[in-house]
Amino acid sequence: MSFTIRFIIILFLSATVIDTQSQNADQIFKAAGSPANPKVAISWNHYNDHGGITEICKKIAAAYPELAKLESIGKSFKGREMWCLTITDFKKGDPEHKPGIYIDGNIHSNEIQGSEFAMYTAWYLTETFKDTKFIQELLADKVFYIVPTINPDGRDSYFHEPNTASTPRSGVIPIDNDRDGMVNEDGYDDLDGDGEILLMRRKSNNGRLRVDPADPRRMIQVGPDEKGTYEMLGLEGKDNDGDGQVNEDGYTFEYDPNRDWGWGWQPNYIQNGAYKYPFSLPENRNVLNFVMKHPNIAAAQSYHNAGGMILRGPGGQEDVGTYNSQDVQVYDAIAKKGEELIPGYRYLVVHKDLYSAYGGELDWFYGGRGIYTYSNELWTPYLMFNKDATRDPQDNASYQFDRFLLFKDAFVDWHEYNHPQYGKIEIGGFKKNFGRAHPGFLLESDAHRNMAFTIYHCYHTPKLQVDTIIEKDLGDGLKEITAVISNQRIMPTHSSQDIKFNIERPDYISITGAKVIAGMIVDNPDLNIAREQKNNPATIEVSNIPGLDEVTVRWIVQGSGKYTITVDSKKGGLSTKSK
Amino acid sequence: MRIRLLTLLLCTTFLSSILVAQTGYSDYAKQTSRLKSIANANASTTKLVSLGKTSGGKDIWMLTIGTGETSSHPAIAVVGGTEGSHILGTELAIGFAESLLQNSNSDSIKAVLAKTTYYVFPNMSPDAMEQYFAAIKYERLGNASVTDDDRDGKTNEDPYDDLDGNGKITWMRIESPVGEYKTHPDDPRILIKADITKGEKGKYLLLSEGMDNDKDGVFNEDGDGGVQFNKNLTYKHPSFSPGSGEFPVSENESRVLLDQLFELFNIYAVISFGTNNNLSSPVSYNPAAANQRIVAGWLEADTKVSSLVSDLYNKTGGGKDAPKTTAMGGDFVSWGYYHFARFSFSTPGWWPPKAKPDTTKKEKAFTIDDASANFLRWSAQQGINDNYTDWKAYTHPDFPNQKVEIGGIDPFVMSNPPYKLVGDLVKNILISLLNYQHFNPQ
Repeated sequence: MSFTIRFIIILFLSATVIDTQSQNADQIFKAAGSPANPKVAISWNHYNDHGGITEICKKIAAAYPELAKLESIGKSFKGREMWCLTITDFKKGDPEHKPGIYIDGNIHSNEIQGSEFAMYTAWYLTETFKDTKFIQELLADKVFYIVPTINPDGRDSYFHEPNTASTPRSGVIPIDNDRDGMVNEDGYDDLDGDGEILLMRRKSNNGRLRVDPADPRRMIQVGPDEKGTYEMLGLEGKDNDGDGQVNEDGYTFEYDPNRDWGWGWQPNYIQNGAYKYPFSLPENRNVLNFVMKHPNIAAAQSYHNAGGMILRGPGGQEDVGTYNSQDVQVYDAIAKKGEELIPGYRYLVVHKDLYSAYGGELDWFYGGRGIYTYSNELWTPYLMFNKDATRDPQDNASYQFDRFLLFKDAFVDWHEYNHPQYGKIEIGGFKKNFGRAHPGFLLESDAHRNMAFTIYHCYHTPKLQVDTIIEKDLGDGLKEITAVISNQRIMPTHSSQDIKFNIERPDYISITGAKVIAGMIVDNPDLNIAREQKNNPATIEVSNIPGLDEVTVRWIVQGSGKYTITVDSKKGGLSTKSK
Repeated sequence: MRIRLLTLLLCTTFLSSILVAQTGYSDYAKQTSRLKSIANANASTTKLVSLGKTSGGKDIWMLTIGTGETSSHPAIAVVGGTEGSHILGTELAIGFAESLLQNSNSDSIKAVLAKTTYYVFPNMSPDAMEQYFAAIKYERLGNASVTDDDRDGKTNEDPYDDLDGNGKITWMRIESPVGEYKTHPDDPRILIKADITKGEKGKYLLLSEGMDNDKDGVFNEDGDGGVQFNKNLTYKHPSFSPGSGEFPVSENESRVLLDQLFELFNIYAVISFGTNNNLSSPVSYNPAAANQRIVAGWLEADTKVSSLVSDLYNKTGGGKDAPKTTAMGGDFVSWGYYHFARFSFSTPGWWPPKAKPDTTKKEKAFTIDDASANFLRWSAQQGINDNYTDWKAYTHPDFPNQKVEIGGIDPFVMSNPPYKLVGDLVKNILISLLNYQHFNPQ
C-alpha cells in the first residue's frame, strides 16, 4: 500500500471515529452528576485488557495535564507496565503534601472490574472538575493514586486464554507445585474452541440431574426417589497427561497474590497460596515501593469481586487486637456510609464474616502502614433484580436475568462434543464474563457508587488548619503565643495502629519568624496544663491530631514582628497561618 | 558407620595441621580473597557466586562444594555472619570450606563430596561486620540501610561516641542515687544489678559510651545501621523494633539468600552460626506449641532427630557450658525450621568456658554467678589481659554534677575468642558437619 493511500485511509478513519464518538455540544443536555461532553470519550460498558487500560490512562493524562499525571510504578513479571494515575489539582499545593488515597484493582486475575472502577474514578474526577465545586475543593486538598491493575499479566491471561469466571485467580509465574518436574501439565481445555471453559454433561440413565422444564439450559437435581437423565463431568477439559485425572494441574492457581503482604504473613503450609516471603511477587513489591515513597497515603481501597461487600481486616484472628476500638470507630463510620451509598453491599470483617486469611493486602496497608483500608467485593446478584438473589443452585435468578435482560448473551447453549475419554458429551454453561463480572449496563452505575464511597473515604482523610492564634503580652519584651490546630475530618493524622508502633513521624507544629524562648503542648487549655518541649522548641512534635478535634500548642517568644505558624503532617498535609 | 566416622576423624585431625596460617579475623576484603582462593584452587569441586549486594554494596557470597550433579545430592547449607558482631561465625564457615577442601583428594573426602553438597554462605552481615575492623569498634548488627531506630522521624541522630578516644565503645557508669547497678562483690571491675528484693541499693547508672546527641533523654539509641539480618526474616518478625526492618525480608541480603534457598530443594538441613544455640541441647517437644494453627514448636519426630544431632555435636565438638538461648523472632534459625521446613541448627561456635577458681591466687567460687566476672577470670587464666578497659573518670556534659567513669568489658570479646583458638573450633565444626552427612536422606 502506498503511503498516500494509507494516509487517506487513516484520515478517513479518524474522521469517522470523531464523528461517532462526540456530539455537537449544543445537542447535549447534561444529566445530573455526569460529565456531559467529556474530552476523553469512553463508554463504561465493557472491559479493557492491559493495552486498553494503557490507552485510557494515557488519554486521561494527555487531556488533563494539570489534573492527571501518568507513571509506571514498575513492571510485572512478564514486563507489563503497572500504570498509576496521580489525580490532584497540580496548580494548588505540592501533591506529596496532600493527604492521599491509594486505589487499586484486579489483584486476582479474574477479578477484573476493579480496574474499570478505578479508571472511572480517574476519568470522573478529571472530567467533572471544571463544573463541580466539590471536586475542585477535593482535588485542591487531596491526591488520588490510582493503579487500575496490580496484576496485568493475570488480567490479560484471563481475557485472552480460555477460562471460567473464577480462573485464573493467581498471577502467571509458573510454579511446579507438586515438584513432579512438570509445570501446569494438565489444565483446562477449550474443547470446542470458543474461548470459554464451560461445563461438560453427559446423558446417563443413572444421573442425578435433569433438564429444568422451565428453562432447558438449566440443570436441576432430581428428588431422592426420582431417576435423572444427566450426569455432570466437571469443567471443560481432558486428561492431558494420561494420569487418570482431568484438569488436575493447570496454571490457574499457582499462588495467591493477596497472601503475599508483610503483615501477619504465614508460609504456604499455614496460608495456602503464600509465595516465598512478603512481597516476593514483583507486582506487590512495586506497590510496596510506591506506598513507602508516598507516606501521605492515609486511605486505601482495593477492588475485588464478588459478593457485594465492603471488607476491613483483620484477615487473621490473631490480629483482632490490632484493630483496636479507636480505629474500628473510624472504619465503621466510613463503611456504614458506604453501605448506604452502594445498595446491596454489606460492611463485613474478613476473619469473622468470611474466612481467616494471612498476609492480605488490606492487613499490610493497615497493620504495616497504619492506613485505613477497605477491600470491596464488587458485584452482587442483588443487582440483577434489586432484591436478594443468590448463587444457590436452586435460585434461577441468573437464568431469568440472562434471559430477560441480557437476551441469553451470557450463556453458551449445550452442544454436542465427542470427548476422547468420555465419548459423546455436551458442553455448555455461563460464559466467563457472567457471574462475577458486572454485565455491561450495570457497570457504570456500580462503578459510580463505589467511586462515591472512595471519595467519601478520601474526603475524610485529615484536613488540618491553624485555627486561632491568641497572643498575650508577658512584659519584658516577652510574648505568649497560643495556637489551636484543628482537624476537620473523621480520620486522625495517625491511626492508633500507627501511634502504637510510631509508624509515621509525629506531626510538626512550628513557628518561624520569632525568637522562641520556650515551646509546649497544652494538654488542657482550660486548666492551663502544658508539657514543655525542651529540645528544638520552635518545632513542637505532637504524636497525633485526632479526627474532628484539635490540639493546642504554645510558645514564649521574644520581641515582636510577623511570624508564621505551620502544621506539617505526613498524612494530614500542610497548613500555615501568618500573623 | 563407626569405622567411617573414625577415618574421618583421623583425616580431619591430620588436615587441621596443614591449614594456611591466619593471624587474625578476616575483614570483608580478606574474606573475599580467601573465598576466591578456595574456588580457584578447587575448580572441580567448588563454585563461587555472588548472589547480590547489600545496601552497603558488599557481595553476598555462596560457595557450592561437591562433585557431580550437586543439585541432586542431599545438601547442607552452612550460614555464617547471621549477626554482624559474630565474626567467628564467618570464620567458621570459611574455615570449614578451607579445611574440607585441603584434603579433597583423599578418598574419604572424595566419597563425601560425591554424595553430599555443601552450600556455604559465609557472611550474611558484611556491612555490619566491618565495624570490627573500623577505627571505632562496636558490636554492630545493622547493615548500611539508613533506619530510624527509635522511630522519632530522624535517622542516625544519636550514635555512640568514643568519648575516651580508645577506638572502642565500652560503657559509662554514672554515680546516681537512682542507679540500679552495684559492683560485683568478688570483682569490682564488673557491675551487676542490685537485688532490690534483698534490700540492696544500686549505686550506678550503666549506659553505653556516648552522648545524648539529640537530647531526648535516651543515649545512643539511633546510630549508623541499619537492618539486622537475624531480625529481618519472616518467622515472628518483630516489626517496628530497632533493626527489624519495616517489614519482613526487607533487605536485599535477606531476599537473595531466601530466593536462592527456595530453589535448592536438595537442602535437608541448615547449620548457621550466631548467638542462638539449639545444637548443644536438643529442641524439646512441646505439643501445645507444635499443634497450634501457626506452628510454634518442633514436631515430635523432628525433636528426635534434634536429640541425635545434639548428641553427636556434644560428643565431638563439646557443648559443655553452652549458653541457653531463646530465639527472638525474625531470626534465621527459626526461619530455617518453621518457614523453610528444613532441620535448622545454630551454634555460637564458642563461648567463655566456666573458669575454675585459681587456688594459687586464693580465688574462690563467685558468690554471685555472672558471665562477665567468669569471662575475666577465664581470660586472666589464659594470660589474656586486653579484654577490658579500666574505669576512668570522664567529665560528661550530659551529667554536669555527677561522677562519670568510662570502661568495662570491651566489645566483641565475649562472643569472639582470641584468634589462636579458632583453628580448633573450625576442626570441631568440620567434624560435626562431616558427621551430619550420615543423616543424608537416602
